[in-house]
Amino acid sequence: MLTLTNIVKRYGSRVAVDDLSLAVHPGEILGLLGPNGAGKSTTMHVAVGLLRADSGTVTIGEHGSPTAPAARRVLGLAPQSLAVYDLLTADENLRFFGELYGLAGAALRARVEWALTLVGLQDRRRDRVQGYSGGMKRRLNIAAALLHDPQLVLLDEPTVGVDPQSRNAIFDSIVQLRQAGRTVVYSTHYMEEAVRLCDRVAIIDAGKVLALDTVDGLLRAHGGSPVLRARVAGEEIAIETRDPLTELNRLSATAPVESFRVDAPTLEQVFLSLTGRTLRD
Amino acid sequence: MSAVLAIALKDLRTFTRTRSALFFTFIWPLCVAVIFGTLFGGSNQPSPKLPIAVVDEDGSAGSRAFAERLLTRDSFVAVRATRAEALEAVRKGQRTAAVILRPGFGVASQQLFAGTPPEVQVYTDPSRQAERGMLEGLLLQQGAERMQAMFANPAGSQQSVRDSLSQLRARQPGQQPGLEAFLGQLDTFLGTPDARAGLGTPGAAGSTVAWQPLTVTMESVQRQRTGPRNGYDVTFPQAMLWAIFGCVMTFSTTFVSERVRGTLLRLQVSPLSRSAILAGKSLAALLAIFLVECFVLAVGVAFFGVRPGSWPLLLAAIACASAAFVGIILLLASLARTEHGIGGAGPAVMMPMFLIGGAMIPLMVMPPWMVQLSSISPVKWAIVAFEGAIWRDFSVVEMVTPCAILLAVAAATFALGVRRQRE
Repeated sequence: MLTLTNIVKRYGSRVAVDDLSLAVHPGEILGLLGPNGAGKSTTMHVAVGLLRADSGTVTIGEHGSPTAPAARRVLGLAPQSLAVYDLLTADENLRFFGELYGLAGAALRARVEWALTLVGLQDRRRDRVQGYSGGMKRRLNIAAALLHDPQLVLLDEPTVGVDPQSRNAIFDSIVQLRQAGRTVVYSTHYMEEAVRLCDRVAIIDAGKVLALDTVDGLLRAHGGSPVLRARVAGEEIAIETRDPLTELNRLSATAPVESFRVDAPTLEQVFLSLTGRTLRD
Repeated sequence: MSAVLAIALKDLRTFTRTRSALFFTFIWPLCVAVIFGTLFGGSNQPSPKLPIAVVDEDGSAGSRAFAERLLTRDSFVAVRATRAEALEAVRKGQRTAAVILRPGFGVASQQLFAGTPPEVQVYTDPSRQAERGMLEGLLLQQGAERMQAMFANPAGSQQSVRDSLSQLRARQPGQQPGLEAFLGQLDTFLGTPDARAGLGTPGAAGSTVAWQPLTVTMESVQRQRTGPRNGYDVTFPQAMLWAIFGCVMTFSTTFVSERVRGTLLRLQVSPLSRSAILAGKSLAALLAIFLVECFVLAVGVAFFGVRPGSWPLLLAAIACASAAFVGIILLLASLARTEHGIGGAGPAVMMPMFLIGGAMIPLMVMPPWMVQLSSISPVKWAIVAFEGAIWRDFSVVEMVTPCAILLAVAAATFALGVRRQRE
């Protein structure tokens, strides 16, 4: 659905995207996981044709370049900034964005209704956006990206600064998109979101894709072994092991085990093992 | 095209919902126009007293009495003059009208209900239609008063009636039997005690025959304008520029806001071309500028007596000025990266333009060196174009220069702005 091949994008001497390649399959949710400044947003902007890559190619399905009008009709972008008009109501915002895609009349009304329902803003549709909470604005931002029923949706950090209620509403919307067969590219620096939503995750840092696989695949390849943490005879013990049960039996044979737990590897550890830094560094 | 219109309508909708923008484009310019217009010379509402020059070319007792009555009427500020003096006064705008009592006025005055009525020629500036109508009404009213006077002095008027009757019988014997009978009866009536007691009804007599107490012939004298009619002629063109200033600041800020807030990304990801996006936003600015100019002008015309000399030329001036400032909006928006940036850069660029261009100090009171300097400002050419159509009485040829300069500014700033926006 989306293929990026050897993309390079520089801002002066700084390289924002460094020979990045990835392919997004139809119907999947692909996560771009990386810290702030990793090049996720730049990658997205190159992918939708907002930025011209210094080298490399972008292909949108059978439409080719993302700047082709046909390709733009199948693309939907929810930028990281809240790209909605504060002085308009939710209804007016969505109608306006729909008109940009040639929607009109009953079709436009139906799509606006659908989008407002998807993000749970029907009750506030006639209120001006300037009175919305940050989370409501984020939801409207996503609704605007989905209004024209795009096949490929790019969501750039859609949960930044969002309250838990709105975050759950956004997750539900994305799950519905997957169920409807849409392809989603989801950038985030929250590993929990990547684990919860994404079919595959690309770990990105310094403009490069360091690893790309399912979450389980990434954990197996780069997460290291689970850690058995036990309290034995008043002493805290942590043992890295691929077989915690055998290790626990061994410990209990030597002394009484007062408590224990097994810490499975996380994407945080994956990132740490790939970059030597944590996601929040 | 519908997407371009959608962008334009969206921008106009947000414009109407920004209170500060509405204040600075609608209210503030009117405050400037009214306050400074009053300071510069006050109201130009048609005066209740019309300044006229009275020319008595007949010199008879009847014309002298009529002229005397004009000179003493409350409705006029009248002076006696020769024909040449009176026409010159109208030409120079010193008098609204020259009222000329034609030779034969006195003789005609003596003929009641028959013959040629006394003739009055009135010369006025053709643009002063309201005053023309008012003057004609007042003159006819004074003519009718002569009839009223007849009934107030039956003994004196009886001789006029007898003269009219004998002239009618001599010139058209038996042609107007009804009128002959009426004048005979009137003659009889004027000799009765009832007439002497003032019981007559003059209106009834006049309405039964196709005869007028006075013939008023309206003639035109093209007025040579040497300056504005009043202060508002000067301050309303300035106010139109201040309204444009408000639009320039508002729409250049919306351009930058789209960029800063990310909505421009959404527009750019849509199937619209960049040209279509710019066209939509420019169309909104163009419509807003055009409408606020028309609004300020309409207030001037409706309430402050601004009387454009040429509506077509004024429309052309408004259109050219609107185009020029849309280009300036595009250029300004391309210079700033943030909304704060446009808040600083906008006034920094615009205020000097307005200061030297005549939006603060009227061009007509500027020292010569400043008038020359002002030529670098598009504001000056917009004001020249507005004033040219409102009170400078520009011909089409004279209007070409300011309009061409404004269109050149539009083309240059639009091209530069678009180029910078695309970078």
